[in-house]
Amino acid sequence: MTHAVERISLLPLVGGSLFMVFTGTINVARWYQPMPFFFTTAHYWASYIVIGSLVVHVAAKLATTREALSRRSPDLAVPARADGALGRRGFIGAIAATSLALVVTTAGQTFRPLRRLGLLAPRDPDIGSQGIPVNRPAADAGVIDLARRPDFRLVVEGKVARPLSLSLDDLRTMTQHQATLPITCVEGWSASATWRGVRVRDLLAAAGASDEASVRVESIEPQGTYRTSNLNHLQAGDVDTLLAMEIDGEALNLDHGYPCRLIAPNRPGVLQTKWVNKLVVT
Amino acid sequence: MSRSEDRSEAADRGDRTRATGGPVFWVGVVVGWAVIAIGIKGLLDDSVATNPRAVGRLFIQTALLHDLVLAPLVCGVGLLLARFLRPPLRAIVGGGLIASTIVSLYAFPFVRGYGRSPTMPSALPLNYGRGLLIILAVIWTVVAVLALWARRSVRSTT
Repeated sequence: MTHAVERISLLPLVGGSLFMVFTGTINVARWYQPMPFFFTTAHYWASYIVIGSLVVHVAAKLATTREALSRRSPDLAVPARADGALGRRGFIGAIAATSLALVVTTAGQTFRPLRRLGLLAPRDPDIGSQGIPVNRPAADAGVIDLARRPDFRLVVEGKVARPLSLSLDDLRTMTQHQATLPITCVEGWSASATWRGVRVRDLLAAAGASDEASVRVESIEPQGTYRTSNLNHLQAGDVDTLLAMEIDGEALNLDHGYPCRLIAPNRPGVLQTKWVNKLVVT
Repeated sequence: MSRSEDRSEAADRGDRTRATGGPVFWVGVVVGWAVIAIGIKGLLDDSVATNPRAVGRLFIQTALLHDLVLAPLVCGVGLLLARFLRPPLRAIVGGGLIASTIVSLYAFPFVRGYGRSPTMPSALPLNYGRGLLIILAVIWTVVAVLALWARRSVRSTT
């Protein structure tokens, strides 16, 4: 009975671990075909299965582990066993060294000093339109025509005293501010730029919103899981939270969110909403 | 190695592999399976996003691929190493094969470029085949250096 429970609990451990590693890897490699599900949610729930089965496995092997660690066994102390095969320590050493090699050859996509060693990095922080990588191009978002409409308006509405409807020229005549902030993608890459545009707090003040106001930032994008994002009152009031119209001294191009995009501190890249046309105060 | 030595080593191993059971194990089973149940419930409740049938299929497929293909393959390669390589080369080459396999499996979808898209040239912008070859070359250089070093130390002790 005990043995059967222990063995059955290995199925979620092995299946779950492989599922996590495989889907995690193909997700950063953007290979979605073997995953007919939403990666983030499935990965999140599968992690409970792996953690639970790990608890069972550790409990099952606790006595053995304690015994093995309490005395110096020949298998543990040397990298290779007497018959010449790789010992436990050698095996763990090989796995650790390989993991380190993979970290060194991929971390350059976010950690600049390792950039030149990023042989297997999914991104290069310097490769992309206007020098910054892109995760959702305008063509894929279906906004090429919508974003270029000459009658573009940025609307500020909701719980405000004076709803606003501003043209691009109106936005340009407001006081412009600058912030150097990174796009930090949950897939592992990040790249910094200097952004210039209008502070969200200035827009809220012009519309007569309260200091405690939170904001839903909406995109022109017709559909998509991340076409809106939320700013709480602290984020909305931050001096570095901008609706940017420039990146590194150039006008934003379509892929980076023309005519204007949200850029704010301490947010994953996917919540730095692009092609913004509405701020709804809540 | 003689048979009696073999047997004593097996006995030694048996001694270290303690029988499973006892209150700690059963507490672990109850807590662990409760956490597993939370995960399964989450997958089922979020079915629009998770597509539980597809997740379950991939879950079983990867486990079967591991047990029926990968594990026998590793055993087979291990037997070949034992047959053709002597210590200390056997362990060093084994380590090199482990490293090469992990790196190659990780690099596979990048080298094949499954995720490339014409609308997004900044995604997967590098020559990953070249990157993989460079890393494999480094691994096998390390293997060669370790092998030479081990051979010299074996000679100096005999």
